[in-house]
Amino acid sequence: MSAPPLSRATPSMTGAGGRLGALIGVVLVILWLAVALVAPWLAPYAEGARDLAAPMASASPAHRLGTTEDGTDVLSALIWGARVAAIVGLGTAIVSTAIGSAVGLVSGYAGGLIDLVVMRVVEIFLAFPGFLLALLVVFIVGEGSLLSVTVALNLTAWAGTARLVRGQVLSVKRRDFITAARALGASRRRILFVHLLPNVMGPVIVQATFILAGAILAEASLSFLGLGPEDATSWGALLEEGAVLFMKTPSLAMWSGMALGLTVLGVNLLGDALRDRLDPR
Amino acid sequence: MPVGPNVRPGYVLSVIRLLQRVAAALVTLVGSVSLVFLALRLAPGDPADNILGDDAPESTKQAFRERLGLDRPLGEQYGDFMLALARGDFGDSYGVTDRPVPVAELLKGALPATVELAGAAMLVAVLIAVPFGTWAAARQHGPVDIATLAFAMLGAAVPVFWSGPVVLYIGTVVLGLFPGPTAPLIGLGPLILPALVLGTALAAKLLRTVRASVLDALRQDYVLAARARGLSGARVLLIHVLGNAWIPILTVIGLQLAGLLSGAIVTEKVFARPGLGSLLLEGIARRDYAVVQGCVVAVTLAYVIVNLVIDAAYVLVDPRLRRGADQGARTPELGA
Repeated sequence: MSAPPLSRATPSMTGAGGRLGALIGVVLVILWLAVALVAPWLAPYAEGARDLAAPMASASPAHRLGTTEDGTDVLSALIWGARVAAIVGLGTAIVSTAIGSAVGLVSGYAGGLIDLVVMRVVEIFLAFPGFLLALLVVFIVGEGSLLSVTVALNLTAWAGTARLVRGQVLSVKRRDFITAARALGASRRRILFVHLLPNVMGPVIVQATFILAGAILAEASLSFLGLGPEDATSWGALLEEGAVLFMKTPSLAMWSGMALGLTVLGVNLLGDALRDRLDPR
Repeated sequence: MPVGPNVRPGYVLSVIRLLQRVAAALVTLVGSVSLVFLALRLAPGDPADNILGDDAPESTKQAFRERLGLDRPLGEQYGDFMLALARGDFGDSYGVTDRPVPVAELLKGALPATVELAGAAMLVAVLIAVPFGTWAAARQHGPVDIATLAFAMLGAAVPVFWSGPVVLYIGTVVLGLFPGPTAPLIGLGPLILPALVLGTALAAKLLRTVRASVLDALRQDYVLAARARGLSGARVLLIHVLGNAWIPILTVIGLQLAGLLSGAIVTEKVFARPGLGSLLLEGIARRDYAVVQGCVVAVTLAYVIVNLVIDAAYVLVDPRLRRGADQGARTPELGA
């Protein structure tokens, strides 16, 4: 079986436009992660700090972007929000990719009854409206926290990766180098992790970036609906307040929407660029 | 000529394949409803504590457990839950008063508004995505193509709870075209803005699929053959290309239904519209177990059934699918 030539990238993002998109994506993602990382030093006010004397203040030297109804500094909240998006987003993308890869790897390699049962379960998770499952889990646990939201989103995200990896494994496992490895007496674990896994990683990494973008949006949506992490400052919660106050002061919604939108845009652009590089389909 | 099974094997095959799809969908249906049940029952902690709060008196908690049957064995609860569901019984809500209200009735009251919004949004999405996606593919790398891709990219990054307030502000305050969010929600007027917001978000996702399927169909030999026969460009595009590109497009529309329904929940909140979303959020705010469960089960049923109908439609309409190749890669839908 011969792999299709790598140069045949998806038609969407070739040429100068694609390179510009990739560059914008990388810059936006680096900016977001840098802000998330240095938030404690960058934010003018501590997380959750409220200036009770100045609710709904407009921009001033003390509060560059004004304050919210409860006196939270908007600039600080935006900076801390980058950290929440990073924790929930990366927590979902990394953990669900690891779980999905392991399940897909075992299912695809083992085949037979194991594969049949595992894939049926995967189908059920894929057939379920994922956002609602996450919403349900947060409701049941009783209160939204960084942990419960991340767990809930992981529960919905792993199945897509499992299906993808299983498909990849099925196509790779009959290739000659796997047969050769087995003939040389390689252990099953060695075949799985040294020979199979690296050969299916490209599409998985691409998928992980789209899980990342989806998780950031899903966390913001949960927060907008009042089911987000209560122990942290989320862009979604800021947007909720901004939407209510939009007719009076559109700036809160504009700033938080911009932070969220640009981050998701950056991750999606990065995902597209990675797909052109890593995913030969 | 006598008509027997040997003469029309395609017809028999399609019935077999249809039955296979129905069986698979039934497994998925039972599985996903069981998933809701399990999520509700196996979550850490006591639901009575989680939902009523730790400070609620023990007698209230015990009454809560008995009302929902949480004090009974899990297997028994599961059996009752599934049997009741099969009868269309979604349990009772004890939200406002102590008088139980059947959740099925609440759902019946809430569904029409959400179906209306989802249907109108889907119409908006198709009206944007199919013409522009086809146009973009027909003139690949042209200005329309680049604009379409940029729109799809931006649209995927903008949640409806950001675009919603902006559109509402422009429509009501800047242009003064629509009544404000406090105006009564009667007639077509109040539907236009939410449908536009939700439909545009959906169109952003659909555009790439339409464009990709049309590009794919354009590369096929039958398109070359049609052109060689001297057919006009428009005829080739409309009949030969779109006639074959609609299958992946319809698949993606079906899969977007989950995103559409969760998007509808958020959109209803943005525009203060009644519907399934507001019923669900009300249930969450009042910690009404049965209402939340009912809403989630209803959306799950709708999603699985619509996708089954789409699957079945292919088998009946497209002879190629009778031979079995599964089409379309299903990807999970996370964002709203």
